[in-house]
Amino acid sequence: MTVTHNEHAESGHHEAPEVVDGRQRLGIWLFIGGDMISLGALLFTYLYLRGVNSGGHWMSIVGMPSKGITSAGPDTFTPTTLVEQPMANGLNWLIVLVVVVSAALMWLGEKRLRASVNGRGAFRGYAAAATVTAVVAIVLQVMQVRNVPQYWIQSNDSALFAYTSYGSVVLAFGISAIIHFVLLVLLGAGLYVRAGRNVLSYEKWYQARLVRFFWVWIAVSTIVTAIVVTLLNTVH
Amino acid sequence: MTSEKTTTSRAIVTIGILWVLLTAAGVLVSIYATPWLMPDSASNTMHMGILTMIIFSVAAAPVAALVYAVVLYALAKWRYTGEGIPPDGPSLRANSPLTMVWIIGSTALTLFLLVWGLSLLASDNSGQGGANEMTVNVTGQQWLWSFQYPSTASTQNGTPVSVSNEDLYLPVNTPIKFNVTSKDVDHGFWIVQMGIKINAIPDTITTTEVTPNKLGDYDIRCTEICGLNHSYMTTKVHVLTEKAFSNWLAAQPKHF
Amino acid sequence: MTSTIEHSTVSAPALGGGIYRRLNFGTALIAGVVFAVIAWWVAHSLLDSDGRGFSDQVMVITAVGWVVGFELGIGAFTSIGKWFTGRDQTHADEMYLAGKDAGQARYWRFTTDHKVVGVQYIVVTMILLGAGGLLAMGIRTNLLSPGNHFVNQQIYNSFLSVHGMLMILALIVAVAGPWANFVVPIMVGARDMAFPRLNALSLWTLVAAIPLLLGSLAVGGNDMGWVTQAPISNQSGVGFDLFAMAIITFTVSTTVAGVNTICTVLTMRTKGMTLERLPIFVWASSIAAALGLYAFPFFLVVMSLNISDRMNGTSFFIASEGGTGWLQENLFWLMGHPEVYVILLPAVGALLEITTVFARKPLFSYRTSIAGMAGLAGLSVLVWAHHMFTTGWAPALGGPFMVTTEMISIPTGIIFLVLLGTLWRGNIWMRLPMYWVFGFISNFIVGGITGIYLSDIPVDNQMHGTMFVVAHFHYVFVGSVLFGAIGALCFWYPKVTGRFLDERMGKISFWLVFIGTNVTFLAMFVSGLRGMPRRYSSYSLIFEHMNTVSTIGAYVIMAGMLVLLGAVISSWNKGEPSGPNPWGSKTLEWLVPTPVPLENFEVLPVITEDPYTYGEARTNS
Repeated sequence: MTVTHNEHAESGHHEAPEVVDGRQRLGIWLFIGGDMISLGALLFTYLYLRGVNSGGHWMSIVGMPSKGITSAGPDTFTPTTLVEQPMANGLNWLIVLVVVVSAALMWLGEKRLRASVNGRGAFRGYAAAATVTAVVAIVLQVMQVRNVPQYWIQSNDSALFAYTSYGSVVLAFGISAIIHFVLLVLLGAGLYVRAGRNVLSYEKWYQARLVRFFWVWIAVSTIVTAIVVTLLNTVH
Repeated sequence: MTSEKTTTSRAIVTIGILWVLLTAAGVLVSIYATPWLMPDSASNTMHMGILTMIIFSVAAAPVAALVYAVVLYALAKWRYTGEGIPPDGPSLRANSPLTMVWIIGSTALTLFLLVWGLSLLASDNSGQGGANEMTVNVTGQQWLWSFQYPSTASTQNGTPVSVSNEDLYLPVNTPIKFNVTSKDVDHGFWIVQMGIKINAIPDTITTTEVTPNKLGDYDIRCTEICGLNHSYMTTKVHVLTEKAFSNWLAAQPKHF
Repeated sequence: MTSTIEHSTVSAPALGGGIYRRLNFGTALIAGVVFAVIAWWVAHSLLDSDGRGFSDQVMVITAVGWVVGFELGIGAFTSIGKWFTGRDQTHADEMYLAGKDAGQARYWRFTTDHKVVGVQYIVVTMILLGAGGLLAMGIRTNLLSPGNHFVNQQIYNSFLSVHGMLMILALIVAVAGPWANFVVPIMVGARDMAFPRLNALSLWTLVAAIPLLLGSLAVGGNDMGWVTQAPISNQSGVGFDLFAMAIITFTVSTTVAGVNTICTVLTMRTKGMTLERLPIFVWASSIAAALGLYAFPFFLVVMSLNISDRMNGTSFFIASEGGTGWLQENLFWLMGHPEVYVILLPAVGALLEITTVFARKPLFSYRTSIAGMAGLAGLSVLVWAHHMFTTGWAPALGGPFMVTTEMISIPTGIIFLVLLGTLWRGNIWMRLPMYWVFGFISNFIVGGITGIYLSDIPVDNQMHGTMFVVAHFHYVFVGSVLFGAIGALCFWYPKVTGRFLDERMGKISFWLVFIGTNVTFLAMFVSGLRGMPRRYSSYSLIFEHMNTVSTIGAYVIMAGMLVLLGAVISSWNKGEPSGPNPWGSKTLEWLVPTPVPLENFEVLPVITEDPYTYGEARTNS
């Protein structure tokens, strides 16, 4: 390969921030792409189990409700076929609302940051609000996860805790959401601190946009999940 | 000096001859070695399976032969034997006609194999049905097989009973339908000489069908890893004449 | 008057590195163990010991403790912590992390220089191959004769499961780890990867996963096969949890690495390096990385769901509670089939690169070869259910999956076209790397054709779950991918070390491995054709002859690999010096000095043509 040396090509090894940002934007999109596939796998799981409804147990189980029984097991095991109710849509959509608000706050903050040299202060306010809102989302999501009904089922000679397959997937969505919301809190807090130290500023605002991309994706993923779980939550 | 055209045509001719010889060898091996290596056939399904192996091998022989012919010729004729880095070869970056022929050829071969395979699949699946089809229920569990004949089902003191056994007995030339399930984990139900295989899955019934067409004793082996004694989860299938089979069935005790 | 000159002392610039100066592999191990023990103790004390899945929960939390501690101890979280506190890296920090002037020590710590990471990956690959190889010898020794004379069934089942996983991991990184890291940035004319710290993170995360996988053997193993099918996965002991955590950790490592590779190739090419001038190895690595980004999230999800069923009482895969094992198989193979092309493509790319150099010819049909690789990757996401033909899942979909699977033979055929076309009328230089190319061609024809047999459902009904399948994929994994990985090692060894890999030992190793591979796995085809199922620790007497032959072949392979290991080690310091471009190659990595300077190029080159100008009139330089 013929190679010519361009004497003027190098001006030190530090690259312009736009170049670095372009690279990081591609990186975050690829990472979001991988996260989309993960969500896709969970949605596939939900739709598959609902479609198969193995033995009719998508939203029912042969066992006893677990409320008020200790881990030592129920005293007498009297299993019946229990039919489960779908999870409360209200809480689902409240979480969606909180996350969407959180993303909107982050976006507004980024706009203020980019608008003027003095926008940094406002940005910090928005970032703080978005972070706090994400914490609220975590709390609500933990509540939802705890509400997924558990049952006692019989396995050989012992009684075991179990979830229906519907409950299992809802649980999986919930735990995945918690992990992602924790990431949001960390990112929001980080941007808050960085803006305070002027590492994130009117001139160097790129990372705020990168975080906003991720934040908006999380909001979108909660909407998609909520739509699927709300519209398709009965026994097929 | 040999011209480029002469080198190329010489190569093509020699490789062509090598190709024909290697293809012939491959075809012979395909036709004779395949049935010799594979188990005896005890059903038409197995027979067609062996035939498919032969056809696929015969179809693959010219492909493999071409690759080996070119490689052997290259190693014989185009090896650089001097010292140091060899001089550059000719700048042959592409040959669109060749590429087209290659792609079209491999597509045609694939289509041929697909048509063969899909039509065989369709005829395998067209079901045997019919009035004389017999059903056998197969249950896999860690680590044995058991077979139950629902045609013998009756009640004894109010309990449903039927013939069940750990060896499989079948009448020859009768279409058999297997309803397969498992009591614990996945197992693989495989009648080696009849070419049928289906997983046994807990809380599910899977089915497969075959018509045994040869008397004798054959093997059933488990093909899905199922724990400690997976390697020992084998049993036998005995194909009897229809008369011998009904005698055997009538003489069996019934269990629930 | 005497004037006193006051010297104001200017303090020396702060030494870069900060806390990184104190962190290395040793501190990582210690921190990992400490955190694992703490996590174990906390889980053991706080969790309900009568509850369902208690021992699984404890094991999973212990594994998380190990990984977190290890990453802390190697410094993976340091720059994240710095980001949060707004203290970004200084130039001195960057230089320290890149290992400037640091000698051997930089190989034992979190170093961002892609060349160091490449060498670290060589070592990790050898460890994975060695451990997997030992287990393979255990398997083959047990199969020398029927009757479990070497190990019992349970140990055997664990051996084969962990062997499978170790080797899969080894092969995923065998070419991509060392060479996509060491070579690709230089090939595109960059100074390093797009995200150097993520590069080091991906390596050390993989290292963190290995003790989990090996540790699973110590706590009872995973005896369910590397595919961890449900429902039997629920019967395995806690070794399964470590196995699954190892995989989850690995998916993090590989996702990060894939993002890095793609960003490097798309955003860091030097001036004039258009996509059409990229070496084929760069294309192959990028396509493989993109395919991996698609496939590995499924792995993460399916192993998490598997663990969840065991420790939380969920019912994804438990039929009596609404789940189904078929879901596990679908999710697994949605990952599992693309993954084998993630494994194959970098090896093919490396071998194509070698062929151009050692035949002194341009790559034949550059665009078609890229289209072939892209087609292979694209089709591979549509074929997964051919692993499930005999499971009873969706029989109606059998036909469509048969079609997509057989169609993969078309792009595979293109690979052969390109290889043979590149060899055509070349001046073939039979040095060590070229041997592995020819070995690949022979083995890949067998592996590829036998795959087509399996794609045909009536044949698969006979062959699925038998040693025929095992022989097929070993011809592809060992005969093709491993040959590509070793070829790549022999090819780029002089660039890394400045010395040739000992040719004589290398050729001895080649013949041993080539003959051993064919003996072992041809005999295995026969075993399978005759009716021997796979994952059997003991077998019917009719299979004894072929198994004995396979075992002998396996020992021959082992001998060959040991000779290769000896050559790698002895040539590192005592091999014949090679100079910067011993092969007369035209790709950029050979045009920089050996050892390659820290930032690769003093002045970034400007590219005016592709690296395959063999036989073409030279332009003025």
